[in-house]
Order: sequence, then structure tokens, then C-alpha cells
Amino acid sequence: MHIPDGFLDAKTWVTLDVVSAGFIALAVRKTRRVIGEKQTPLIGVLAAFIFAAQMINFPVAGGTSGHFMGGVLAAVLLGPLSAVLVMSVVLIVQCFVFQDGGVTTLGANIFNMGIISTVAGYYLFRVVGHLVVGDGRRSVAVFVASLLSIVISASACAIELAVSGTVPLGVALPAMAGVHMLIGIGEGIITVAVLGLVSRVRPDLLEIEKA
Amino acid sequence: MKHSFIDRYSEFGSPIHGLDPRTKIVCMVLFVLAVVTTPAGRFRLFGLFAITIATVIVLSGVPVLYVLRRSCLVLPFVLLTAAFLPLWKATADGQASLNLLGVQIDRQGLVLAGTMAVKGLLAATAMIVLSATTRFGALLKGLEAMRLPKVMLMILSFMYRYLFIAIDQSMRMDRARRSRDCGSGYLRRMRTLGNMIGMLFVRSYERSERVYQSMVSRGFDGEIRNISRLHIESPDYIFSAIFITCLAAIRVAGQL
Repeated sequence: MHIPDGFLDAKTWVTLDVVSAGFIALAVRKTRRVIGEKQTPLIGVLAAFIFAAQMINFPVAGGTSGHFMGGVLAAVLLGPLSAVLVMSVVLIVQCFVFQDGGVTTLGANIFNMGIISTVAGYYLFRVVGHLVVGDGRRSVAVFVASLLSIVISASACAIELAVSGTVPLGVALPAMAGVHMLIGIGEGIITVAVLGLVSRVRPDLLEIEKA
Repeated sequence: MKHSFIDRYSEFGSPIHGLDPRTKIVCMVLFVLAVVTTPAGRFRLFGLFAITIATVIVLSGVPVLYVLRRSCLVLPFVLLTAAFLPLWKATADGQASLNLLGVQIDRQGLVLAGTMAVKGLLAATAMIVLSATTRFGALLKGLEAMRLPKVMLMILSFMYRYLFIAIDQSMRMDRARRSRDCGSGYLRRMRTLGNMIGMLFVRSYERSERVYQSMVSRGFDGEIRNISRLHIESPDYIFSAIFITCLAAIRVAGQL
């Protein structure tokens, strides 16, 4: 889903660069106030964690594999704004050191995978958590939010490409959303399992001050 | 603990490696901008851009094959999106200009797809040159001197410092899983992966607590002070003057 340079037209990438930069500035200011100086090592180490977790592949239908993204996981553990920082830092390093995603399209990639997946994912988690009742409430909410966060990010990517005239919307949107539905199921199962383990091993970590 | 795929070759001693990180950041980002804003179908101009960046690669002593292999990482995305452009454009305009094995292919769509592939490859190449000739620490110092927010830089440097440990840990766990797990079903496998990632998180979190405590015990007060040894010297001026002139000349030639 990392868009390389040259795939978006100027109006699209400039707009998204500005939007993402604004979001990061907001996140920096808010997290500094809520978590304080302790946040810097925490967010840095967790960014390294997300990076390593993204290298773990899981099987998707038909012998292909997808990899974990971790947007909702970061948002549920840290709150949406700190999660934006964590994911953005991961994407910045992927862009500059690994050439995963372009420089001009960095804003678009941060928007899709760092902002939409975390912020939308977090609020989906909250809303679904209120709608469902019963013991498995939290797991259902996490699963649905993770699944949809992947589908929404992929759709945003398709829409940006279509607006730039790179691909036709009618083909790209269903294709991207469909494929990422399958990947999203994996993301959902893994995120539920991760949070289940964390709540057994270190339940206090689920109560980190959220920003 | 060595992961050669991260800033490999950045310890070489070529003239390019010796440049100030800021010079390289500015030049490579300008290169990407120049390439990305070039109109579609100007393949001769893209050829000139390729020669410019190839010269820098040769000067830096980084193996050309390594750069090529790395830049090919862009190709899967090209294949996924740009590859069906020729077919799409053909159906959109209703007039196909080529007929290949019974498939209608539009020449304009083909040009557009080729342009995107070339732009993606050239931009990736420029960023490979940057990361292969600059240590990550130097890159961060350069970004700091260019006034990137301090908090972001600190987060980035922490991330980089612990990236190797996190990757090692995840690879060790994955090896342990593979050596014990002989073909379990989908759900079970996903749960195992979830537990692995969960453990990775708990360990990372506990590590960040230890790191923070040891920083505080050494007098950390929320700010990192370091001695900046960045100097822009005459090679920097010469390199950027030549490089930017080349970029401008290519773009001007394109207007003629």
C-alpha cells in the first residue's frame, strides 16, 4: 500500500503532505502535554516494535501473504494521537531508509496508514464497543475496527490514485477494498490475540495514559 | 546484531560519503521533485536524469547492482496499478492504437504507465543514494540542522537505536515458532502470531521503561544536547552547484 513517487499528481500529494504535517504537529503538541517527557523513549521504542511486527507475514487466501500493520493496535494501546506519531515515524523511516513509499507521496502514505488507520480505527473501536454487549465486547470491537481500518486505508489509497488519474476508480476501489478485506481479517485476528496476551501478561499496560 | 540491509555501504569513504548530510538531503529531494514534475512521456529527459544519478552512484562507489536491486522494490506497485492503464485508457477513449495478441492497447496509456514506472524507479534510486552514503545518525543531524521538530528527531533516533533489537527479537521468535510449529491450521497460526507480537510489545514496553529510568538517573530532563559537527565546505558547494545545474539544465532542455 506504500505509494511510490510519480503515482500521484501534484495537487493530491501537496494537499496530503500539508494535511499530514498538520496532523503530526497536532499530535506532537498533544502528546507532549499528556504523557510528558517520558513519551519520547516510549514512542521511539514502540515505533521500532511496530516496524519489527510489520516484518511478520501471515497467510492470506490463495497462497499469498499479507503483513500486520498495527494501526489499531497502537491506537488502542496508546490513544489515537500517540499512535499517529508512532505510525508516522515508522513510515518516515520506511521512506528514507528502505525506499518503501516515495518522498513526495510520504504525506499520502502517512495519511492512509498513519492517520486514517489509527484515528478512524480508534473511533470505530469505541463506537462498536458501545454497540455490542456481552463478554467478548472488547474483542469484537477490536476485530471490527482492525478489519475496517485496513479496508478504509486501502480505499483511501485507491481514491487518491483515482483522483490523480493513475487508475480508474471503478476498478481500483473494489479491487483494493476486496483484497484488503482478506488481509484485514488477519489483522483483526492478530490484533485481538495481541491485546488478549497483553491483558493477561501486563494488564496495566492497557491503562497507559492516553493522548 | 548486524542487519546489513539498514544503511549498508554508508561507511565507505567516497567524496559523496564525505558531503554534509544537508547537501545530500537537499540535492536528492530536489532530484525527486524535478523527476516527479516532469511531464509524462518525456523519456529522453528521464534518460538524462538517470545518467545524472548514475554518475553520483559511480562516484560514491556503492555497487550499481545493489542500487538496481533495491530500486526494483517499486516494481510490484507499478505492476499492480500502472500495468492495466493501457487497457483502461483503451476502453475509456474507445480508440485503441495498438492491437497486441487480440488485446486492445492504448498508446497513451502505455506511455503513462511507463512514465510512472520510470519516475518511481528514479525517485527510489535517489533515496537509495542518500541512505547508502549517509549514516542514519548523520541523516538525523542533517534534519535537525534543517529545523525538523526536536521531538520527532528524538523519537526517530530512539526508534533507530532499538530497531535492530526489535527485529532480532522478532526473528528469534519466528525461528522458534517455525522450528516447533509443523503445519497448524489458519486460526491457530494466527493466534501464535498474535501472541508473538504481543510478547514483542510487552518486551519493547518494558525496555522503554528501563531506558527511560536509566536516562533519568543520568540527568535527562527532556532534552538531548549533542555537539553538532556539521560543516558545509567547498566540496558541498561544488557538488550542489553542479548537481542542481544539471537538474535545471535538463528541465530547461525539456521546455525547448
